[in-house]
Amino acid sequence: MSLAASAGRGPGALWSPTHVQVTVLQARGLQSKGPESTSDAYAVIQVGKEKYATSVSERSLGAPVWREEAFELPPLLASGAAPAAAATLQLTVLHRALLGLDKFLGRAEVDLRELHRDQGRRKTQWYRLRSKPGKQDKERGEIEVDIQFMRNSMTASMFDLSVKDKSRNPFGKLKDKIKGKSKDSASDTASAIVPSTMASADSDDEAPSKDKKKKSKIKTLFSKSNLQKTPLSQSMSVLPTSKPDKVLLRPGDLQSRWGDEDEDEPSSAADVTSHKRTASADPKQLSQINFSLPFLSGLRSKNDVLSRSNVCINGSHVYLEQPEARSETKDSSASSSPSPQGFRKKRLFSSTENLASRPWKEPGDGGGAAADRWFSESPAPDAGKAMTLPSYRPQVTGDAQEDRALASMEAARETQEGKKQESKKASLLSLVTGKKDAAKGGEGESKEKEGKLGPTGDAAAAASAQGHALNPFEDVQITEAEADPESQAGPKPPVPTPRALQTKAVKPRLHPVKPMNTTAPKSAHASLGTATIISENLINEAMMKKYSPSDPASAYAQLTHDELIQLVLKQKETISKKEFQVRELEDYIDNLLVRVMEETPNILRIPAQAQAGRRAGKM
Amino acid sequence: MGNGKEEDYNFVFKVVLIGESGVGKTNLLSRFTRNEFSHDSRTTIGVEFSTRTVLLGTAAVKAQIWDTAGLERYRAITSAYYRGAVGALLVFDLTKHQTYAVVERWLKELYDHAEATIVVMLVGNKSDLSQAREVPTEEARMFAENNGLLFLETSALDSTNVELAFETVLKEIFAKVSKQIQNSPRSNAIALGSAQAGQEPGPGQKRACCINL
Repeated sequence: MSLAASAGRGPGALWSPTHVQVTVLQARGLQSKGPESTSDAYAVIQVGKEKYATSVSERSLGAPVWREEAFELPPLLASGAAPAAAATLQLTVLHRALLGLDKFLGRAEVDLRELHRDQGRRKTQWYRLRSKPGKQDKERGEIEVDIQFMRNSMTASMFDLSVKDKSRNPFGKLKDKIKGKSKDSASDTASAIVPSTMASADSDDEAPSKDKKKKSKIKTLFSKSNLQKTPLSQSMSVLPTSKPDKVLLRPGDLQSRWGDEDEDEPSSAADVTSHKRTASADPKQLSQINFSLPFLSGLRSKNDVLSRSNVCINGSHVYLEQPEARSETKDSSASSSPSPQGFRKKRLFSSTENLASRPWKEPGDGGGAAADRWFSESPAPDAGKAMTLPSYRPQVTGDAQEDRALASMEAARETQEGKKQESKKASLLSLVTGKKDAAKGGEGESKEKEGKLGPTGDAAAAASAQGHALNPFEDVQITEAEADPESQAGPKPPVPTPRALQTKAVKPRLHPVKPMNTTAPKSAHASLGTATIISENLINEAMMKKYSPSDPASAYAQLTHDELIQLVLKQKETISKKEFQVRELEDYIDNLLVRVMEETPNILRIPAQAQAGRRAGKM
Repeated sequence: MGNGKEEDYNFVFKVVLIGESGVGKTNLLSRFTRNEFSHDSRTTIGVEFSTRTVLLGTAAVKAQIWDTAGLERYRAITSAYYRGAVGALLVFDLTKHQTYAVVERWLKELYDHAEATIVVMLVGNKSDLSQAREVPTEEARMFAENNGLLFLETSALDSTNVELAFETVLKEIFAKVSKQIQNSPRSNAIALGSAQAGQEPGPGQKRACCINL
């Protein structure tokens, strides 16, 4: 902490933020659009073209609590020439409508440049929600937002992970919406929103809302994950072994982890408080960032690790995840580099296996955020863990699954392993369940999500990375099997889908929250594709790879043999029916023609116009 | 022989195009009646006809040529399609032996529904695709001779023998009609009278001719 603080101070005068982390804490006084004076509210965070959405706080009585952060929004505050739009934070609160367009609840706009000038690096404040421009303003309540300015130069890899998570998150959201947000939407959104640090914060937030039984655990986990520093501390406290593993893995990881731990420990209190990962974590992060980018990345990675470590809290889980990540990373070594990004990627790949099932779930559930966190965490841990214990990974994943929608997760994994259809279904279930799970318990959700994410990620990784694919699958399977017995939280870090990972690796930016804008769609597509791909991969990796999401064939690639046969039979029946109809029509027309030929044959004379119309190639 | 005005004709001859689907019946018709050829491979649906008047010696003959889909199955229109026809072009695709192999089946259907005196020409179409020929000219010619059919190979695409094929059939029909007319003087008057009702496809003239034949 002290280091971070000093670092933050050091840069002070010259300090110019490159990113802004927005944490949507809660709202109050919202209009009710739903039944019984409730509303399923969620917030859209937008800076420039970057757009993130929180989870849906279901049936909130006008005062939803999200505590989800949009990580690494690039406001371009540094450049004075930046357009106002790029420096304006737009917070839109919407009611998720089951049918039709979501309903507008209110909007607040914050001039980030002005805020930065006046408030410094961090500001938590209530903003009044207003009507849309040009419409009569009325009482729409307020929204509390924590805005933290950050500087990221080195943490691209970390950010990348978060971004990947985000991408997944959007999908999850979509899935959630589709599936129905029976459970806490917040969890879903959280997952979607929370890439790494964000995810942790989200999970914390979600956990409270979702959690009932395992809230404390979940919270701790989340807090750990959420609060990069705090999570570390928690993870440290919870799982010292896991940390050592991480440390062992890589020097960079170790540093980051150690740093995280240190930070976490001090911040751990904050973590304990949970929800405020942004607050506690943010300052730390900021300071860390200021001090050294590597630290930041490390912190983030650590945080991720921490979140994973949370998984690790279970103990084996962490190890499992890490090892997988490591193995994956190793497999994907070509793409991945020793750098944190590389780790993340590797983790992602490894996680991708898990993710195969997870991706959907993550987006839907708050767990998604956790997954993201896991991912972010996993990268660092993965390196270390992978080094230490590949075998552990499976357990971790299994645990995670068990905790939450273990069944769904497992099923998803199994399906992946066994059949594409099954995998798809499982993934869908997992997604749904993941959402539900998220709603149920932050911990379980996070675990499940992680587990899910892991499988999906694995699958995706498998699909994307040839070499990786095989290993990831194996890992996933193992993890599933192990997970079932263990029942611990998903040690598997919710690795972003391979695609997501790749994208993250490519893009330095972090997208903790679900991106809704252009970037989000891309990521979403990628994630969707990965999700489908993952499931397919489970069934047939090769098959999956062959079909792109846009390819109409992809719709059938996931079907089982029996399903395809049924489909063919149905089609045949339809065709025979239509043939019969055609025959009847022909007969009818023939009879008409006979009458025409006998009574007014001139009607059948080829008309001049028709002749012209038919003219194709005069010779 | 040449083109005459629509209204100035002494005889109306109904000629039908038959043969497997895709052999080029419709393009033969369009080439003969409008000098058009379509590369559009759409299958003919329904029934339609086109006319062209030609001079045979001193007589103007209006050829009323019917075209329909070369469907295998029996159709309600089959009977009406052949009714009153005094000529028929049984078309096959000389690049597809299958279309030639089923000629006998088409002949049977023709004789089942048309007058026994109908003039029939076997037409091997698509002679422009000589490289892809599957039906030797002599084989088809022999078959035609053995079955009392006229025979020509045509190309609707490059117009080879299209006019000759139709005119040969019309001439043959006209010869039969003339023979009949000589036998019965009244038929001439009937034919002239029927010419005025030119628009009607199935004039008494043809029937008279056929009947007389």
